[in-house]
Amino acid sequence: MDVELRPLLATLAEVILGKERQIRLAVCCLLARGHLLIEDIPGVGKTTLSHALAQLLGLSYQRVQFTSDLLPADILGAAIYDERERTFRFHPGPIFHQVVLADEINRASPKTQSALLEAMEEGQVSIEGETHRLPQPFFVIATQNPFHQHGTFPLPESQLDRFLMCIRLGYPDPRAELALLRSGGRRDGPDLGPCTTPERLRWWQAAVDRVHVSDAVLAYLLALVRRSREMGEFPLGLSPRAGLALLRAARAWAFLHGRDSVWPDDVREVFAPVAGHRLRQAGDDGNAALETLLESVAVP
Amino acid sequence: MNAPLRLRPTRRSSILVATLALMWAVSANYGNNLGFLLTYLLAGVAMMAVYHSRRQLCDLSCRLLPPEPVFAGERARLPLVVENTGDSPKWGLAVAIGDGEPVRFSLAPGESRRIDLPWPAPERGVHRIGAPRLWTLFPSGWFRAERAFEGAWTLWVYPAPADGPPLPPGTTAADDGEREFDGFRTYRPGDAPRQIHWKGLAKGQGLLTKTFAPAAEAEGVIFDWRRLPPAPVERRLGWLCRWLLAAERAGRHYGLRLPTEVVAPGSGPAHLHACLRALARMPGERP
Amino acid sequence: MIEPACLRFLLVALLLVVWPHLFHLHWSHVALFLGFWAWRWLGIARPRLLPRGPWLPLLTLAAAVVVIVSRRGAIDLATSTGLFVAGLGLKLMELKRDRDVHIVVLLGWFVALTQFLYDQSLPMTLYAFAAAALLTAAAVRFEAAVALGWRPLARTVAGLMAPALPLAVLLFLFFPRPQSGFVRLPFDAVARTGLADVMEPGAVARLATSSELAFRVDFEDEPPPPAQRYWRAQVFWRFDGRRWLRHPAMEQPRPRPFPGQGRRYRYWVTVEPHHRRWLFSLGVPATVPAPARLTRDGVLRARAPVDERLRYEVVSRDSYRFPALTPLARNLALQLPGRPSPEVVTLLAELRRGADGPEALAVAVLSWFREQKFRYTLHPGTLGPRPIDEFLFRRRAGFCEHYASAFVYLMRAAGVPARVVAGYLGGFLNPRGRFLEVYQANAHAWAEIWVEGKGWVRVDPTRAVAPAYVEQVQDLPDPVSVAMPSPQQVLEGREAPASTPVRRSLRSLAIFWGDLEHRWHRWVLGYDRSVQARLFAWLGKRWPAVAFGLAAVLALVAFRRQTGGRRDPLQAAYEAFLRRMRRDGLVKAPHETPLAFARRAAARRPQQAAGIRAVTEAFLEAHYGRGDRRRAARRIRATLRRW
Repeated sequence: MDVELRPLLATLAEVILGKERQIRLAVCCLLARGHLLIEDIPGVGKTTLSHALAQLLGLSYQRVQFTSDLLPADILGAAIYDERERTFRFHPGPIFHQVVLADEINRASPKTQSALLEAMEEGQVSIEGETHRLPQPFFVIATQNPFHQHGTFPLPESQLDRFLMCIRLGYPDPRAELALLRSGGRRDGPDLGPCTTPERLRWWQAAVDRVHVSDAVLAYLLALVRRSREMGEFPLGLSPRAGLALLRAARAWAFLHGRDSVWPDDVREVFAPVAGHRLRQAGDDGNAALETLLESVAVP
Repeated sequence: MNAPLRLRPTRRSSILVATLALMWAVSANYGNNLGFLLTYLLAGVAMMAVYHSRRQLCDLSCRLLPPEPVFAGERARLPLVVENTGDSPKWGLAVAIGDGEPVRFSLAPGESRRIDLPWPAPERGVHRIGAPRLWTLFPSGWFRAERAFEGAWTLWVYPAPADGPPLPPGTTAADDGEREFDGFRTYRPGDAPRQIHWKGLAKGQGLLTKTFAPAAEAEGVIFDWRRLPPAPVERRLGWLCRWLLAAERAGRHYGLRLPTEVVAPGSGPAHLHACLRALARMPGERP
Repeated sequence: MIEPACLRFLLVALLLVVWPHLFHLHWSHVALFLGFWAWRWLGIARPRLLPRGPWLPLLTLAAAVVVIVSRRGAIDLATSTGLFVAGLGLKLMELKRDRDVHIVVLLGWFVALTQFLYDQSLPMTLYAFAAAALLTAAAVRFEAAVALGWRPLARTVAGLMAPALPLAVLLFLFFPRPQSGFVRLPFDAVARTGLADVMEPGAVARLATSSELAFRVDFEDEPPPPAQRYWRAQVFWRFDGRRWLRHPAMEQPRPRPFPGQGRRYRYWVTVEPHHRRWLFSLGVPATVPAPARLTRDGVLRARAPVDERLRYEVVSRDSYRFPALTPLARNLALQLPGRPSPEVVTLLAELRRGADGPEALAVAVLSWFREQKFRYTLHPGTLGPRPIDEFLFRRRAGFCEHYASAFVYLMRAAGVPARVVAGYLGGFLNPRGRFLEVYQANAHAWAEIWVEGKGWVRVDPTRAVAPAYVEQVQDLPDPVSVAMPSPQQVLEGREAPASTPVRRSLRSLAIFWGDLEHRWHRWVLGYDRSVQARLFAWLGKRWPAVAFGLAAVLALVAFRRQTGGRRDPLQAAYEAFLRRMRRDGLVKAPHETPLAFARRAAARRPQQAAGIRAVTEAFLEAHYGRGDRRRAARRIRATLRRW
């Protein structure tokens, strides 16, 4: 593992107790240049995680609370007429930060949602014919409440595909929760200094692209994707884009574990977070179905 | 998938034995060497057929998938996936439950296939159905290689919906006026004019539509076993089943109270299945 | 319900299996089969056409009646085979269930076998085996749940047949063989070319145009010189003026062979089946082979008709000491159909002048033939009521039997005991196999005269008339199938056709084929109980070597299985590791990653954790990473050895 990744993960683990795997997945998502969707109830540490990640990496951070009356311009920014200069000047919205926490994204109207997601996909914002590049690295953590409440607009499948991973933080285990209570919740103070630089992050992201993928692993990945289409348990199988996402995530996961080649274990580890929300199906036994899928494909 | 492989000659192989004996006798009688050679060639083919029959069932893996629940009297389909993990094609495979109608299929190398085995489900309840047998007569038909798998399906058979008393009325859906204001969203063509936020339009906020939460139907309707008219157990279960389906179709909140268990009101497919499972589980009449 | 494509395939295979019977069976039997076959073929598209209910037994009865009546009630091989073939056709009518298909396929195998009872040649054998392979393919195609493509079908059939062939050969060599012939259905008397029971003018001439093989001879040493290659088969004593007949008294078996002297020839004769009892020997035989008896007139007679190819060993000598002529033999050797005509008496008186003794008289007769411009021809025309006089004094043209006949007549009329001998002359010496091929075209007749003190002396009158022709026949330049020596051509001194490349290659092909066929007969068809006994004895003496060889083969097979043949070395090494773990009760599920399996295995077998980790790491780094596969495989093997 890269020397500077270790302290990053260790510090994050101190901030969010008992969630090592989710932390690793979040970092993996960042390294793979993907965006993260957290599906969970409020109050399990989503904000803490995203804020800590931004601080530790020395990235600018902005939290946006999504509501039903939020308009695209409230996120992207708007050109406002300047009386003195007598011109329109662009006021960048909160999206022009390196880490953006889009809280309760399903509360916003589909128009606002798609504005955000298009910006995420293209890495730029076009307003009034002017194109504004988003900062690099750019990492969106969106959260949504898994329970269909009234007045929410769940993300459609096509939009879900924009997120590399979808994870759940879940409640902390009793010991972690006890420690949290004991500390009084003062862990996420502003004293977290950056332990690495954005340049370093960019270097890591480049290194992830160089991780070796053997034919055997490609075959395994392909078998998983194909099996998801023929199993009949999922309304829609994994798309080719999903396959690419899986590959990217597996590479980042291997890199995160200090290897320069992808093993089938990497694919398996990231499979549920990457494929779960893309294969979403009715009922709450999605995980069992994913497990069945994994168990039905032989490892070459 | 390490179930033992059984190999035994089929009834047809007696014809083979008789033919071999006849061929040998004729060859011996006439001292015909080519006759001997042909006889032994047939015997050799039979020996190789044993080997090939065995090999047909190697490198096959079989997984049972959870079956879809059915209503009593329907034909259940028990799904399984058979995969050829070897690098040779497998021909003439057949799979069946017990003595049921076999499904015949073949698998290319690396191919996996989902097979739905038909199974008549006459009675409601939770059925455990033992894993199927997989066999092949390929290539000769003289030998049958067979493999039984471990594991079993758990099949929910819901009671068949039965005609009977009409659906009891629950709390009717309240008028819009009584519903709780929930928020605004942008106008979509087709929204009722009285839902449009006219005041906002006047303020220049554009067309917004007011949205409302459905009226609280926390209680919903409870289908209560005890309030049913007297009838045999299965009959009553059939009524309940029909009601549940109707309530779900109408998008209502509904719950179920049975002598054995209570399902709190709710809606949605998962809830429907929970209710139907409760019906299926219900103990039958003592004989 | 049987799939139409499968059914068509099966029908074609059966047609090919039955096809050769067209050449041996009565036409009506094959016609029955073909009729049923065509009926069934049409029935594939229009099932209503097929017979149903009471029609089947009726058809069966009708077919049986046709077969039996066409054979005139003879209970022989042809009848029973015909019944079988017709029965196979009938079975096609009720081809409904899987079981019927199996019965038909196996009946097809049996029919393929029955054709060996008629023809065991190499091409027919290949044909029958190919037909059997096609039958197997039909059965395989039927068993596959899907329509099998040609390629997988061929691969499956090859997978069945290719290993079955060596198995069949082993069984053929070592499976115990019974004494053959429990119930022999007689062969029907097929008219075959060959020597006839009686000799009449034109009998041998008819054979002269046949290119069929009569027998082959392998010699222990050098073959005898061409002039010695007279193959005796029949001796004729009685002459009725036209035909020469054998005499039962002279056919009586002679207990001991004639004592011989001079050069010794040991040879093996392989006779093509001719359904008679003639056997052939170089001159008079000095030994008597097991399947034969020696007659008093010194020819070999088979104990049973030669219905199958027969191979026997004989020794012949240069000359023999014959016992004195018995009165009966002398009478028979001087028998004449009537008084000789005045013309014959005058001629003999003239010839006897200056000729002292029988041999000198024979020389005089031969030179008279030569001087009087006797012609040698295959087409002498028919002779009148007194054939001998007509031939000697008017026609003066004939084939070998005319000359032998006239010569013996003259000798007898002159009081010299003489007899006509028929058999074959010469043959083609196959340069590849150093064996003699004797054809029907080599059929010949000659004479033997009794010389006091010398015994029976061979005289070939044809040699006096057509020396060039006789010399050519004695040592044929080409196999008869390539070029038949025509007496006219040879005698008129016409050159043989120019040696073109086509002719040359035809010639070498015929030589090659003759050799191959002979070997086939000797080594495959000739394999019997006694050869098997010798094989067992030979193996018994060398059992350590045999056991070693077997062990080596088994070890090689096991080794190849172990290493997985040409498989990837890394995969093979890892699989060896998995086998080792399986022995410890740890099985890797197909969907389990190597790492997950290693963790599980190490937890269950903590004392082997280090080894498991080493193997897994080596495998992972080479299989999924950039590591060297061969080196990793070696590392895994080394770890396994130290286990």
